[in-house]
Amino acid sequence: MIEAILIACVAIAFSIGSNDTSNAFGICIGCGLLKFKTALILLLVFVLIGISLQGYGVMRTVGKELVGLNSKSLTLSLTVATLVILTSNWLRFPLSSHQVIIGSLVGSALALNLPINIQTLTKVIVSWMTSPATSFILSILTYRILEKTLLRLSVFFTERILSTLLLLSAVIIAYNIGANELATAMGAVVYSGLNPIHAGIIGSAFLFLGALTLSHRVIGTVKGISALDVVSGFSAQFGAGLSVWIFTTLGMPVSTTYCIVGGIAGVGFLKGVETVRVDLIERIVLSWILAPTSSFTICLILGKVI
Amino acid sequence: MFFKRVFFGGKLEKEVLDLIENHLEILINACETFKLAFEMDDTSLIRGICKLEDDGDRIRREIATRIYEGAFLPYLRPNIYRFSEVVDEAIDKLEDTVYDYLNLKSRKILDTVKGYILKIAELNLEASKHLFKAYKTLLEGKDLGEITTKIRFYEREIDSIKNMVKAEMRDVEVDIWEAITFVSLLEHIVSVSDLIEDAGDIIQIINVSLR
Repeated sequence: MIEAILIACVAIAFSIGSNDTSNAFGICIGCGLLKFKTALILLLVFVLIGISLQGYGVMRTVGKELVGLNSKSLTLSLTVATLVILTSNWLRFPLSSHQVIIGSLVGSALALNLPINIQTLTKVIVSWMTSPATSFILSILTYRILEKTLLRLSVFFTERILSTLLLLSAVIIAYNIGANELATAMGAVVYSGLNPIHAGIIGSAFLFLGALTLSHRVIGTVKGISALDVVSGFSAQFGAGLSVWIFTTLGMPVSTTYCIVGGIAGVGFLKGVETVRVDLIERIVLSWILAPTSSFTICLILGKVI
Repeated sequence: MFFKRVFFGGKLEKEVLDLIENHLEILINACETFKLAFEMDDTSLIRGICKLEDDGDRIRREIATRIYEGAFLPYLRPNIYRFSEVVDEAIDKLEDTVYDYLNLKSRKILDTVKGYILKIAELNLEASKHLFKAYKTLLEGKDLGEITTKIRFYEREIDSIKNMVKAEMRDVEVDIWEAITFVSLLEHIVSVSDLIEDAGDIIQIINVSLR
């Protein structure tokens, strides 16, 4: 049974690699600061460091504290989560892997009469709401600090420092992908008996494969977002990186993508509300609702039927 | 590539900044050469501007190559290249002025308005020196306002001289081709300060482009 669960987990890790590499290195590659190959190597290194140093907190929340697990619920929830994530990617409407996994686990647990820790579930849902808000505030703070310090220096000196800061924030996001996103995907399989070190290595390897084979498509899209000026882009990414890191330290699985959206909204808010695209916000809210509810509902129905 | 850039000071960027400095020195040199040669009516000296124009072209191409190789963040690249293009265009216009000057068969108009043309050449030289100063100020991260205001002042001054020249040349009877060639010379020499003013504006844009 563990093999089936492991296959589902590595498929999710593969999907994270193909979708979320752009969160970390899209801007650096788009700016020509890093070549794709260098970005991939940095991604692998920092994902491994992230899952090794801080992955245990999120793994514990997802794999142990949230719901009671048995092999049936694990197989059901992770298979459904994998299918939902892959289908949404195929439909070009990617959903947050965290929310899909949590929705599946809770749906399966409810269907199979396994215990659900309401307090942990509430904490997770509150984290989903507060993490983009935290990112919103941190991005504004970052932008303000840069405005008062770095932007008063010579433009070419500023450019050099910004290049370094962009790499720093990319590395923080890569670290978070390991410590939070990959940890969410591997949490259940670790608490089903797989050695955490092995899980980290296998997960990172498949995440790397996902990034290697499919992420260039998403990075191509991110290049189109570079209309966002470099300081705003960095502030949004850095604020999001800090926000995800704070929630990782608290052991909460949160979405880097939503935090980046929160960060972009923050700098957009600073520059004038009219710069925020309402259609995009609607799409994000829809995805935010759809991700956990779809996987929850499918698992609940399948759990009752099977 | 990135680590070199961060830890070893951005070789490509430094090369571009040095090239821009050379480019501006060529512009100043060309303006100065024109002024001197025109003052002394020295046709062999004035031909030296064509060589400076070649050097300017080469530098612009080198800047384009370095930018293509990845110098600077994308947000700065278009304006940096545009700046080198405009500086190059200013040198081109000086070269065009040289050809007009050499093509003038009769000096009737020129002799009448020589003082004005000399004044325009002097103001072009001053404007080019201020453009260089603006660039240095940009590198130091200091306020550009005063310097670019002076550049705009020179440009306005030249425009008013141009109108005076046009008014005075009406009284001089010359062959149509002489008149056309002289008007061309006047337009070319006046456009140098327009382009220097544009380059000054681009420096201002570069200065705020990361803000």
